[in-house]
Parts: sequence; C-alpha cells; structure tokens
Amino acid sequence: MDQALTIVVSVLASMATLLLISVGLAVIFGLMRVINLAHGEFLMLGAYAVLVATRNGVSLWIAIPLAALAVGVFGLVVERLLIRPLYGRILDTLLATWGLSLVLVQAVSIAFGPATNGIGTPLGSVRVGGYSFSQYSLVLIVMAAVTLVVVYLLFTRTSYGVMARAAIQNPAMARALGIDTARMNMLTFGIGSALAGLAGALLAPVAGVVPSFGQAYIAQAFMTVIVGGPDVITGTSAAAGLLGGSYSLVSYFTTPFIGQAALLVIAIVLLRVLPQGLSGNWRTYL
Amino acid sequence: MLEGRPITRLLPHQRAQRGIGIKLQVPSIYRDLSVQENVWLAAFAKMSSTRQAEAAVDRVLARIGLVERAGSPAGELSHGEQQWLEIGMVVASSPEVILLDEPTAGMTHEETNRTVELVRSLAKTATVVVVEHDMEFVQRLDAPVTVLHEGRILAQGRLSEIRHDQRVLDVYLGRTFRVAGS
Amino acid sequence: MNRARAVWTSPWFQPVLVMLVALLVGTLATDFQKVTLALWVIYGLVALSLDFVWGRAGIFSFGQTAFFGVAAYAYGVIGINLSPNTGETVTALVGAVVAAAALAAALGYFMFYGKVGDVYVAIITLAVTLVLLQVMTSTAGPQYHIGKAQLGGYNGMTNIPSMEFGYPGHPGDQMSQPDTYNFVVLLAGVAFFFVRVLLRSGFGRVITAIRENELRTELLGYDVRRAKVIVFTVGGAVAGLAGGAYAGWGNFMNPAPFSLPAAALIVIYVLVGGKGTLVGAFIGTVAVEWLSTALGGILPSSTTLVVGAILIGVVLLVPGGLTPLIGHLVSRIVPSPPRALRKPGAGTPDAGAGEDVWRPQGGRHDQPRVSSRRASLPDRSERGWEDHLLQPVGRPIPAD
Repeated sequence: MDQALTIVVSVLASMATLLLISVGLAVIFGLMRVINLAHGEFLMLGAYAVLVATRNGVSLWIAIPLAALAVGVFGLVVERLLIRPLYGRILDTLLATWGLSLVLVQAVSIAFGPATNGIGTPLGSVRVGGYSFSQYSLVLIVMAAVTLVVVYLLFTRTSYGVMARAAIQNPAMARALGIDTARMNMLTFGIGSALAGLAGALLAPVAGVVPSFGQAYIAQAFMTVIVGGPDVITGTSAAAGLLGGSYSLVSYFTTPFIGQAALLVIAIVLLRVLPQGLSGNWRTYL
Repeated sequence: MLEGRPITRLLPHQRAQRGIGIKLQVPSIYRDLSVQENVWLAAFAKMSSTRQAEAAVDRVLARIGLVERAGSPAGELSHGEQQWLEIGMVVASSPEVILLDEPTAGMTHEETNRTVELVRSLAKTATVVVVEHDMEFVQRLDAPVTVLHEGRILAQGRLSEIRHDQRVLDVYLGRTFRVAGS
Repeated sequence: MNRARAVWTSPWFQPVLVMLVALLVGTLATDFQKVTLALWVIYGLVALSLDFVWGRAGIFSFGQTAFFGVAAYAYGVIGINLSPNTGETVTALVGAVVAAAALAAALGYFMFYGKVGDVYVAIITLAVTLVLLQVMTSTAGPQYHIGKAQLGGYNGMTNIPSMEFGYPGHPGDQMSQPDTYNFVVLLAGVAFFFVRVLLRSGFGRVITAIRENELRTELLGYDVRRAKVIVFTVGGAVAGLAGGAYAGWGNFMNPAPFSLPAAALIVIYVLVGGKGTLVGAFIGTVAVEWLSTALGGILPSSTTLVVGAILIGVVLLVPGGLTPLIGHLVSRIVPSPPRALRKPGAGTPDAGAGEDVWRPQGGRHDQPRVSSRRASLPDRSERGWEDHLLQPVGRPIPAD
C-alpha cells in the first residue's frame, strides 16, 4: 500500500513534469504553429533566472514566478525581433530559432561557466511506511494542474484569449474586426515563453542548472505536443499523462533507459494509429 | 484498359507513359518556370532528346496560341491562359487519350470560345473525353454525350436527345430519383 | 550583357573561376595556412553535395556527413591495407567514392522507392548518421579492424596514408601538404564542373521540375523515384570524394563527423552561401569558417555562438545567402542594359538565357504556398532578394 502510494506520486510527478515542459510549447507550436527550436533554452533561462535570484537571497517561492516573468519578457523581445519578420516562413523560423538556441547555450556557458549548479530541493521528503518520496514532487503536481487550468481559462474565458485565438486562426478577418494581430501574437508568444520559463524554474531544484538544461527536455516536449494533437490543452495533457505515466511506470520496474525507449515506442505507435494526434477527433475548444 | 492493356494498377508515371494525358480542374503548372519550359518538360517526358522536345515545344505553342508568352513565368498568365498552357502540356506528350476535367472552369466567354476550337482540333488526333457542367460549352462541342449519375451511366446520345430525357432532367434539377435496378 | 550571362552560367566558368581564386590564394598563403585552407575546401565540397541534393533537387538530406565519414573510413581501410604494396592511394580514393555512392544508392532506394515524405527523409538520414556515430564510437577494441586497419572507436583510425599517385619510379611518394591543397582544389573543381554539367542536361531540368512540383512531374510521365535515387547517389559520391580527400589530408579519421553539430554545420554553410547557388557552398563554407576562426581568436570557445549568430543574421537579413548579395553588388557596379534593349518577348532579365530561369533564388522555394496569397506575387522572378529587404519588417503573413 505504501509502495503503491509512492508509485502513484512518482507517476503523477512524471506526468506533471512532462506537462509543464510541454504547455509552453503547446501554446507556441501547437496553437501558433511557430517552430521554436529554442524552447529548451527558454526552459534553461528560467532555471538560470531562479539560480541568480536565489543566489541574491530571494526565496525560491518568489524566485520561481519572477523567473517565469523574466523569460516571458525575453519571449516578447524574441517575438518582435526574430519571429515576427518570419511569419509564414516555416523553414526560416526553424533555422532562426535554432541559431538562437546555439547563441543562448553558449552565451550562458560563457557567462556562468559550463559547470552544473545546484539549487537544493526544498521541503524534504515524506516517509510513508517503508518508502519515501520528495514533497517537492507534490509541488510539481499541484503546479502542473494549476497551470493547466489557468491556461485553459485564459484562452477560453478572457477577452484576450478569444482575440488571441482569432488572430491565430484567421488573421485577416481578425484585423478586419479591429484586433491588433501583431500585438496579440507577441503576447501569446510571450505567454508561451513565460510558461516555459516557469517549467524551467520549477525544475531547477530537481535537475542541475547547466547550459545544456534544455537539450534534455526539448525532444520530449515536441513529442508530447505532436502526440497531443490539435487541441493544445486537452490533447497535450492527455499526451503528457499517457507518455509521462508510461515512462514512469516502466522506469520504476525496469530502468530509466528502458523507460525512455518505452516512451518513444508508445509515441510512435500512437502517431501511426492516430496521425492527427490524440485530440484529432475531439471536439473541445482547446 | 488502354489499347487492350489493363492500367488500373500502374503507377501514375507509368500511366502517363502509356498514353493517357490528364488535365485536372485546377491548373497545375510550374508557376515559376516559363511557359516554354513548362511545355518542354511535358514533351521531354516522351522523347529521347532535348532537341526533339524543343521542336515539339514550338509546335505546341503555336497550337495553343501562346507563342508571344513563351518566355513569361507561367504564374503570370491569366487563368484562361494557364488552362490552355496545361492543355498544351497534355498535348505535348502526344497522348492517345486526353481527359479534360472542366477545362472551361473560370474562363471568360471569349476564352471559352477559343477552348471549343482547341478541343475540336485535339479530337482530330486523339480521343478526347471532357467532363463539363457548362451546358453551352457541351452544346458547342457537338459531340456524343454521356451523363453519369452516382457513378453509373444514366444516358448516352446526342445532346439534343439528352435534353429531353426526363430522367436526366430530374437528376439535373435535383429531384429525387432512382436509377432502375439499383 | 547576355553574352556575359551566357558565360557565367556555362558549366565550366564558375568551377574554373573558383579553382583559379583558390590557387591564387594558395600562392599567397604559407604552407601552414594551406593545411587549414585545404580543410575548408574539403568542407566546401561536402556543402556542395548538400546544395546539389537540397538546393537543386529539393531533398533535405542530413546524411551528407554520413557519406563523407564512410568514405573517409573506406579510404583509410583501403589505404592502410593496400598502399604499402601498390605505392598509390588512387584505389583508396576511388574506393572511398564508391563506398559512399553505394551507401547513398541503397539508402536512396529504400527511401524514395518507399515513397517516404520529405520530413522522413530528413529524419531517416539523420538517424543513419547518428547510428553510424554510435557504431563507430564503440569500435575501440583491438578486435575491431579490417585487415591491418584498426577502427579505433572514439579515438579514431590513425596512420592513414597521405595521397600518392605511385608514378612509376617514385613508389611511396606521398603528397606534401601544399601539394595536397592544390590537389584538393582540383578535385573540388572537377566535381563542381561535373555537377553543373549534370544540371544543365535534360536530366537536370527534370530535377528542377521535381523540386518545383514533384506530383506534377510524376503525372507528366517521369519516374520521379528513379531520378531522386540518381541525384542522391551523385550527392553521396561528391560527399564521398570529400571524405576520401579528408582522410588523405589529415592521415586520421574519427567518428566526430557523424555527430549532429557536424551535420548541422554543413547546412549552415549552404544557407550562408546561398541555397541552390552551388558556388555558394564554397563561399558559405569559407565565410563561416573564416568568421569563426577570426572571432574565435577574440572570444575563445565561442564558435557555436558565432555560428548561431551567423545563422540568425543570414535568415533575417540575407535569406538568399551571400551569393545573390555578391551578385547584386556586382550588378550595381556593372549596370545592366535598360529594359528596352533586352530581347523582346523575354519577360524578365533572367528569361534571356534559357538556363537562368532554372536558377532558384535564395530561400524562395522554402516558402510555403501560403506566401502566394500576397497580392504582389507575380513579379517574384523580377524581384531579387533586395526587395525582400525593402519590405516593411513585421508584415505578418497568415500562417496555415
């Protein structure tokens, strides 16, 4: 029973991690259809922002939202300078964001050094019978759920959300209605970046803060978003749940390496069977 | 079956090599290449040398009436001219059977007239099958007509007879109808 | 002006020009510099192979470095085993090209006759490259050898013989580094010429048609699969030539070229030089390498950053790459005749000499069909990259 509880927490934490790293990309790639190969680096910047803040005495719990905000602002700048001139040019966006990723990784490496920096995991662990799990895992789970709900509400219940989706789906029509699509797109990209920064910040205590922080996550994030399909919130969460859960369960009973392999196999099979992604035929708004 | 040989299972390029030329409803040409190069490509597919293909290009351009536009990028042509270009590309590969799917779609009145002449001249050297909804065009072509409904042949004959066929009228006007025996 | 254009687009002019420039630079460079310069030419040749299959035929292959690497190892194996006896490495070089071409043909057959989509070509070629990385890195033990050649795993194969021709009377006369540079330039020029001849032929025009609209070309009656396999094989052979030269140049080969950064770098060379221009492959390689070396001296271990910045700069500012930029500068200095004097019936300056309309212009073909919704499209072939620069930045084009 105790073991079951720790397994459940572990599985949920994996799902939560996958969801957190993917939701920002779901907004940028899933919703806006912008291929941002620097997404991993946005995660990394969030982690480094937390590092800098905590080194200057800021409490971790304040540092994390600050980091998300910082990366969000950075995202606004990136959208204005790099993404906006390239709308519609898929390959060029891919290449430019790839270039950005190279620049960011090495710039951070030069500024902070290539070594891994640690931020202690707060809150300690909880003992349940003969097993224990980290309380921080619970934080991740809660944050993932909260983020999901907030993003869903933001895009479906606020006027910004409606305008943003209109600007994406039919820009010409949206402009004819008086919506400033350029501004909307910039904000949406900024929100996606902030979400990425948030994920990086949340994961910083768990994984080491290193310039290549993002490289470990970007492939999984893209895979989750693609498997999730066109409904960016419901689809991505379903995909994160499925893939994250599989990874966690398989890793628990075998090794993380086999867990990764299982995740890959399941993703490929799912895409083969449902080429449109999980939410291809779902009729939800988002 | 084409010339007694089954073609259903062939790959698209093999079918084209066997002598079927198809022109689809939406112009599908190389927009960024010149008119001349478009026709050249169509001709070269069936010929063994670039010289032969170049000679064929001149003939075809004269036939479809696009000689002055030979050097322009195909994307710059008017819609009607693009349709002719595509017909020209079909002709350039010297097919035995030509399938034209709504060739006058989007054409002006004058362009439609010219197309009638073009199709008539094509029919002198090949079997031409035209799918059309424009009744006036069908009438001016003055050729045997087959009416298809839901995948089956509904009626065949000259247009004047078909026009008075009650079943055809029902289908054309959308009244509920059942083909006998189905 | 048409005369000049005819010369410029002839198959031999650009290769000869590139060779002459390279040899001229060679006379001014020290022997030590020639070592690096030879490497740049070799990389340029790999970039040429990518520009051929990608820029001209529209096949985005991440596998050129794989063919390069396989050929280099092949040269090493054949060279180490045979040349002590035969006193020459020509067989090794030929063997290298054949090995690379064979791999390309097999892979091409599998992909193009299997009708895989463009994205999967990129994924499969990348996967092959990375698998080769894994395989060759794990061949460290002494049991991994072909004849006398140790594969050497991560550390690589050493003692690969330099190139030698084995003239009778001069057995075992290995090429010095300065001579290697000249030889490599010659190889590159010949390969470049061959590629240009191929592209000017009827087959070459078909390749362009496939790039423009594959489905249409197939419906015209062309066996597109066969054409793509041929193109892919030729691309592999050119990369293989570079690989063989590389092994002979450095006397050494390790799995590093099979890595992702190496494959990516070739893509960057092509883009910077101008995708589809062919000569841009060499220009781009030299530009990127030179810039990395120059700036790397100021900011050590910052090559990745420089390359990333170059990539961003090129995509944003010079999407057509350097070659059209240079061409534009040249045409500013050498004015072209006024429109009225050009051949009647030639709608655009490019349409005068038949071959030029086949010359792709920069990143244009990467733009999805959606960009044709812009009302001003039809003039595209008259507008060069400079018009792109003059457009207001930030005009969003509706994404699909």
